[in-house]
Amino acid sequence: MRGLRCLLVVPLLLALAGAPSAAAQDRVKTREIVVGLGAEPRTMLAVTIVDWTTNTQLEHIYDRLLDRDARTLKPKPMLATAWRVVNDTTWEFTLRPGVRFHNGEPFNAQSVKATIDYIKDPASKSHYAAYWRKVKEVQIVNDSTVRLVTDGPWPSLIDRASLTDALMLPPKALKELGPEKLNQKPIGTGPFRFVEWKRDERLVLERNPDYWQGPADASRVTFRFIPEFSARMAALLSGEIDIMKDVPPHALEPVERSGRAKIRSAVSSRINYLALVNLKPGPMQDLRVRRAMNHAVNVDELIALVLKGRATRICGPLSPANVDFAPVECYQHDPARAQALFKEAGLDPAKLQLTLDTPSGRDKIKNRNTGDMFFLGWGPSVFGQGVMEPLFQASQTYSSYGNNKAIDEKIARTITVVDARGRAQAYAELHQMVRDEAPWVPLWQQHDLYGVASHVEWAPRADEKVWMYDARIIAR
Amino acid sequence: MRAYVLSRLAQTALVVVLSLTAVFGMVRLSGDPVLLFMPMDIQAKDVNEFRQRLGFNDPLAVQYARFMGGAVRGDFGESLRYRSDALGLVLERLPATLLLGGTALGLTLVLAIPLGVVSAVHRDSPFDHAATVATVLGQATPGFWLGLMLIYLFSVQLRWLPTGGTGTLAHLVMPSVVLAAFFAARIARLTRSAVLEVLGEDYVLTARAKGLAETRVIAKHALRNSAIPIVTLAGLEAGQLLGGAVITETIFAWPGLGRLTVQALLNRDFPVVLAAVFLISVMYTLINLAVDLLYGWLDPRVRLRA
Amino acid sequence: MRHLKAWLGIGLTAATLVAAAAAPWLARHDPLRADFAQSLRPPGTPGHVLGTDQLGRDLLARVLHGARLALFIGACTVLITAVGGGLLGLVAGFAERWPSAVLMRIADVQLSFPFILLAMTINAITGLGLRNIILSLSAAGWVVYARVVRGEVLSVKQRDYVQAAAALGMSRARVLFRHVLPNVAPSIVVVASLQFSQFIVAEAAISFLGFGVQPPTPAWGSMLSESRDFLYVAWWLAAFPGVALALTALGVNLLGDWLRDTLDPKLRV
Repeated sequence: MRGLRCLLVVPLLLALAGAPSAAAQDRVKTREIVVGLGAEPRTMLAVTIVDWTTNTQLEHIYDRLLDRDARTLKPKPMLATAWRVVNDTTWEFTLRPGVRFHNGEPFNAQSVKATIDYIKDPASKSHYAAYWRKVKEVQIVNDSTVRLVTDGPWPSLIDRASLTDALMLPPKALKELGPEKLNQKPIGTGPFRFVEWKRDERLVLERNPDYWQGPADASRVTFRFIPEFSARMAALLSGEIDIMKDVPPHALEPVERSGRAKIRSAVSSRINYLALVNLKPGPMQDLRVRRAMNHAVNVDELIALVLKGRATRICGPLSPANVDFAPVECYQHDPARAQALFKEAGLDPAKLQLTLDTPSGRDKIKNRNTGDMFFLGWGPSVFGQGVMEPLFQASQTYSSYGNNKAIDEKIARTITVVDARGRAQAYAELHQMVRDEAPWVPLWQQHDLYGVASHVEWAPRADEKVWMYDARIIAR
Repeated sequence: MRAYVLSRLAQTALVVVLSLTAVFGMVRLSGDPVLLFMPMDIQAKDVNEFRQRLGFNDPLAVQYARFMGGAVRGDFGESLRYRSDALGLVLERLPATLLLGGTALGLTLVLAIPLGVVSAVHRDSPFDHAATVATVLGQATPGFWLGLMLIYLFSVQLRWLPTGGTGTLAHLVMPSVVLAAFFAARIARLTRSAVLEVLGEDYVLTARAKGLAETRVIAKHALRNSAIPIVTLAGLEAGQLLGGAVITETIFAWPGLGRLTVQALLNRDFPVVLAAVFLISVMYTLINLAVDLLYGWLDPRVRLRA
Repeated sequence: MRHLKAWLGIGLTAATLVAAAAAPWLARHDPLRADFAQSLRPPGTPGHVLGTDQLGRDLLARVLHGARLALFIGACTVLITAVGGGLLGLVAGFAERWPSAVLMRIADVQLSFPFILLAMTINAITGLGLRNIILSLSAAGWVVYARVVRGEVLSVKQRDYVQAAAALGMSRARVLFRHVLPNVAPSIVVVASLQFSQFIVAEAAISFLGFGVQPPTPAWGSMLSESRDFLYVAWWLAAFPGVALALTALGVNLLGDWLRDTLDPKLRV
């Protein structure tokens, strides 16, 4: 029986040994930040897999050609200090001098060419190949000047260049080591250097003291992968992690009350909408029914009651955070009007049966076998083409609406307008056309809610980047 | 003996091949996983190009031959999700699962066998009744719910133990307890009835009559002779621990084989699913083989024949 | 103690049956009806004895309807596996030679894979939902019957009266149904009762992991899965469906033990 008693004592000792709050204090001293994310990266190889979680972590290691302003989301200089339109099909970038990769290799025009070439090489099986298809050639003018030649006017090139679609790879290492080695030990120009990736557990990065924007405040950043929300929350409240992503609205109070952490929120550029599927036979092919749905759904009430006010209503296809956003008039909640429209369309609203699919069935959306409606979140969408093209054309994988000639033509023209004023004008007109066609019930931009430990200062962004270069550690 | 082991190993190979074939068949019947891994704003023709490159457009027989040919060399292809070697991903998680399973098995045996023996020896005592209640409850309580309740108590309310992950011994406590609970209850019950059975046998009565000390009677005669059913069950359970690990690892975010399999299934990452099926069925059949060999050692009357 | 356990088993099982049968009368609310204004109310709220969930659905109604679903799945699966596995076992036991060998090899393959993982894999691949969970559990669970029944048949076959009946020119089918079936029936009943709770718990576990019954259908497993997000604010969502599941499993387990002790004390599953 003595053995039994010993066994009971062991867990208690372990519990004491694991007393977690000391760890948080240690981290303040060593200037370390631990971020709790819901999933792990899918690869350490840049510009290969399109995946938010992967990229938000890779961006700490790799820089992009251009950055985006945290508030306006407009492109701004990063590894390129300036850019200009040479002609309708040629863009020129001036590159930042004196930047070095973590292995000492200099960053220059070769890097840009090597990166785009890697993406376009079929052997790389990069998801981004499709995104950069319009780029015909990368011309090296000199070490710090590079030109991208496209096979037609493509104004969104600038947007692609400012996203993770253009994380710059080290050309020499890529050639000598090969992608497989870079996957094991990524080498970028970013503010943090790779230390280790323990699959399903953690990714550890350390400060790059020679970062061209100046070294980060945090000496070490660890991303821990904790899939369950409650588990992330427990980890935050017990001091195991310092920043947690996605606090649901109902759990805000326990975090605030704990005294260990505070809530930080950002209005995300991700949009959520109820698609009214007109790509298959059914009542949704009737414009009056789609408009009736827009009058029938009480978006404001849903936001107030279900999301506890933690969302911002949208009325058109883009969120105000999108650089190509234009305001349109909202459909007002008006049940009587909705009923009238249903009746006008020859439907009895009391007997009408519609099927709504939830986004767990992405296959269904692609295979076009959803019900009359489905719910989808799309984003973080920061420029117009990334919404208008994939979502309102029948030929696209995830669209629910299409076969509207006028809109098809308008999209085709709008995405080739290079000049800024003309682009804004074209998008404004497109917004209005889409709004009148009522392809969706536009719902809301979600508010991204983060729990942040009291000894860390950090503000989330509309593009959902969890960017630890901005984080500060404050001693209490 | 050697012939026996060899024939059992051949059987293992057959079983592995058949289960891989079954899963391969089901996988290929179930549609197209490629879409899950493509970015959302991609055009349909790019998806097709991708599918072509991954070989999903080839005839089924060609795919099967390629798959089996690869499997023999331990090549299950590249994970669709992680873009790295599927078997490598699976093997990487094996140590974590072995650690968890081993701890749970150890915990099970250390707790359950003494519990069962003491219950049997002191039959109908208050201890026996309490143990019966505990084991009956332990068997009925679903592991995943127990895990949830432990997390609520020790992580959410008391903040003593981490909710999941690995790193320190503290991380191991709840997952191994949850994984052990169900099996401990079963093995304790079985030990009790096996020992009770043996205690009624003539040779135990003789040993007692000879005046041997009670502890010696139990240790030497009763325990050794009741070992066979216990080992049988423990062996079967050791295999089932793998099944239990699927659930426990998921609840406690334990980076092992079970969690990887669940995620691969959720993501329809079939190269990883197949590699995991391969490894699990190999381990499972090997455990069963080990149990059979253990029989022979425990009970010389059992002769192993091919 | 033994009687106590038997009565407890019968009592709990009966209570579950009554709760499931009378669910619409015991709980006045529709288990699917959301009422956002009433979300996450604690137990004891007037009108909601066990409280409400994140969508304001009545937890009591959901737990009781969950009992219906659990028992339905358990019953269907047991029926399918008992009939299917039992028949296969009968055939294997009687035919010997190659059908027997083939069947037992298939059984080996199945047993080389953890039950729950097998059922889950089948579900993940063939699609989710109520029908598929019943079929996948059945596909994973028939082996036990086949083995037990085959074993019984092999031993019954040796007995004199069966040999005699065969010698008298009775057809195989007749021997099978007149003499063998009545003898293996108790084993089937016992195995079924022991399997029943295993199926219920397995279904809950699979639904918990997301491969089984899908929300909003009130299944205990998926309710528990959803409850994880609310551990900090609503313990009741994790507690009650789990208690219901555990009590049901306990009741059926005890009942099964009792049946085995009475009908077929030597059987080991």
